[in-house]
Amino acid sequence: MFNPVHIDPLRALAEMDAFRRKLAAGLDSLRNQEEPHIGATPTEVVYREDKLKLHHFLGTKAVPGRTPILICYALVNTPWMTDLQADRSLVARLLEQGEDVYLIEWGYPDLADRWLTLGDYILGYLDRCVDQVRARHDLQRINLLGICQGGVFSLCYAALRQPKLKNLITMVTPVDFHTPDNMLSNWTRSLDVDLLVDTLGNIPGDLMNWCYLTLKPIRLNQQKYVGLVDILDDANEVSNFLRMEKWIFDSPDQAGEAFRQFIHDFYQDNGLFRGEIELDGEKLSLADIQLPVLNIFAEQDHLVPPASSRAMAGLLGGKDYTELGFRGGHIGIYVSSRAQREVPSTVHRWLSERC
Amino acid sequence: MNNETPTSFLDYQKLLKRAWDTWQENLGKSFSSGSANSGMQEQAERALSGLKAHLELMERMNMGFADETGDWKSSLGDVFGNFSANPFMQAYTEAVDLAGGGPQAWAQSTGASQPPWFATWKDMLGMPAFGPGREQQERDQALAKAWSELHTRQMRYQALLAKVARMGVDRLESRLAERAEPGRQIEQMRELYNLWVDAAEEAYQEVALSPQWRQTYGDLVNAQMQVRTQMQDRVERLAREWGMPTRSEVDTLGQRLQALRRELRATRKILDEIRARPTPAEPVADSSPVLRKSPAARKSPATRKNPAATKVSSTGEGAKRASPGRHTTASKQPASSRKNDSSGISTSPRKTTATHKSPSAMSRRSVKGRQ
Repeated sequence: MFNPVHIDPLRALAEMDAFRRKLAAGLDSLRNQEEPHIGATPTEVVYREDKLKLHHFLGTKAVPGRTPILICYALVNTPWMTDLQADRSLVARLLEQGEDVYLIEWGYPDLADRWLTLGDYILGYLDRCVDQVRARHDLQRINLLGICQGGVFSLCYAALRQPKLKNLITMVTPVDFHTPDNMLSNWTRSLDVDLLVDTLGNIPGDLMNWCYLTLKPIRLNQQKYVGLVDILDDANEVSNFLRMEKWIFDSPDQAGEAFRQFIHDFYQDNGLFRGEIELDGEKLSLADIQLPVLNIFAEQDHLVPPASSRAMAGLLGGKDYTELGFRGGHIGIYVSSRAQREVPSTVHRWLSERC
Repeated sequence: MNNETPTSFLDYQKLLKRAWDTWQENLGKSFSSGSANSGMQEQAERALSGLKAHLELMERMNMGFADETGDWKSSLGDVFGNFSANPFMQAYTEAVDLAGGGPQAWAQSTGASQPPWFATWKDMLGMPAFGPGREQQERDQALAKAWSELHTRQMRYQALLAKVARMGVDRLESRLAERAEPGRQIEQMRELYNLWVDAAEEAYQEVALSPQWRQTYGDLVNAQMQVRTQMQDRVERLAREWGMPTRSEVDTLGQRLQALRRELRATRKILDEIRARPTPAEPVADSSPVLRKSPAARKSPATRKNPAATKVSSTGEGAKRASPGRHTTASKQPASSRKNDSSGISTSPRKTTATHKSPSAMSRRSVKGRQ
């Protein structure tokens, strides 16, 4: 049997030398980098409440009479993944096609927000944002686009406040939290979440990040930065990398009560899948959703496995359900070049067919 | 940077190390000189840490596989097999250190490394407490027990990580065995590194999805929280003695304030409904004095099709005092009344037709022993 590792020492030296040179070049590249800026499209804040801001994106091609889209992002991380930079922006691509887009920025909870429940978020903040958009456009119903946990919020909202919505779009949204490939779910199932929240109050953003990093500990903590060396001599690529890093680690804390409910009711009890979720005393079932639904999931999603999202299909009450499986991961679905081509155009086309 | 040309591998290692040190030093200077902000420095430090570990691994790979006549499996053991220096364990530890919030960081922040008196106390944890200091003794015993439990859980967690590291090496060996023929051999260090990452992550995923991991991980976090709770209890007692406000008191205030805000909103909705009623002068088909549904509300699918929405919340102060249960709103307010108010509570938008319920208080008991 041959030795499977046949690394020529001189070649290895050359490889290490190339690595060294890239590092040297990278020093200048990093020195000259400016603070990465996130959020490419101009917005106006049309509504504020507590730490929440409702943004209206200022597009140039809005089609009069088009039903606006309200984007409901997750509480983890910030919603600017949808508008990271000009050439990686779900929002910008939607605006280019004539859509009118609003977005909820939840803000950074502190201990004053520790007692906010999921009911406060979904039937409170989200509902009032929906009302604001309806009022601004003098419409009874608007389009809601929920992302990840925000997609879960949107499903709950649609089940309880359906008359206010025209169409529902969900992206990388978990529904069945107990699929066998859901690592986050596995990790939460033996947690005493009451003890966790009672002890920590709000859940620190750094702790959330730690959980996400340890889903793929070597890839996300080492291999990614090894890959950075490869692009260190390209200022534009480094800028993109740093922008993404800023977004990843700019994590708001999680309001304690809402976190407790989300882990307990959704992750541990799988209540959304089982039809046992209750918000402020109102029980909800996905079977109550009769709206047209477009469900977009990522086929290589390590946070929300495709099966978790696709479980929605069998639970909705309406007949108008469309699925799009995107070839990419949880983040790539917003920022990859393929995403720029495929996702916004699919959303636009699907909505146009349901005007 | 140095432009010397290395003549041997050892020379090269020295050169690489010097280049690395220079790089770190210069990068540190450029950040501390104010040319970049602290956020970028944090990102750079994170990247540096991951890179440094990779560099060390490259050196070990080069040394370990330099002799092609040796047993490659033995080399594999030298590079990846040493548990304390296993790159997986290093990477995992880095993740914990960098995030500052992982199990080990928590353990440190809670003082979970055993205190000096721990060994003496360990045997006395079950002793009954009595006398004037019995309460204090019981608290001390509870803290010591929590510490002991955390130590045990940490050991089990570390053992599981060690298992993952071993599985990763086994998988790498299998993948390498498939390449032991001319034309398929690994010829670049990066290729070997990527192969190892794939193998290690695959092993990790298998274990991290297992019921054993679920239990071990949950037990560890729960044990950490127990220690932290005990420590918080001590701080609370101390703060009370010093006349300082405590976390429990602030929590209670926050909880009551949030309940009050919900109650206020529910009350405002009732007011909106009352304002929206037709005035006596306005001709109405049905002059019933009780609150009626508008035609639009009667047609509302939510009202018709969601039986659960008709359920009256009976929990929480807000529901008991301010809310008659379900309300149907059909308000047409002037635009001026739709502006935000300084309390952060919005008024209703115009032409709203919806079924509302009073928000309940917490759906579960949320504070244990803090009230």
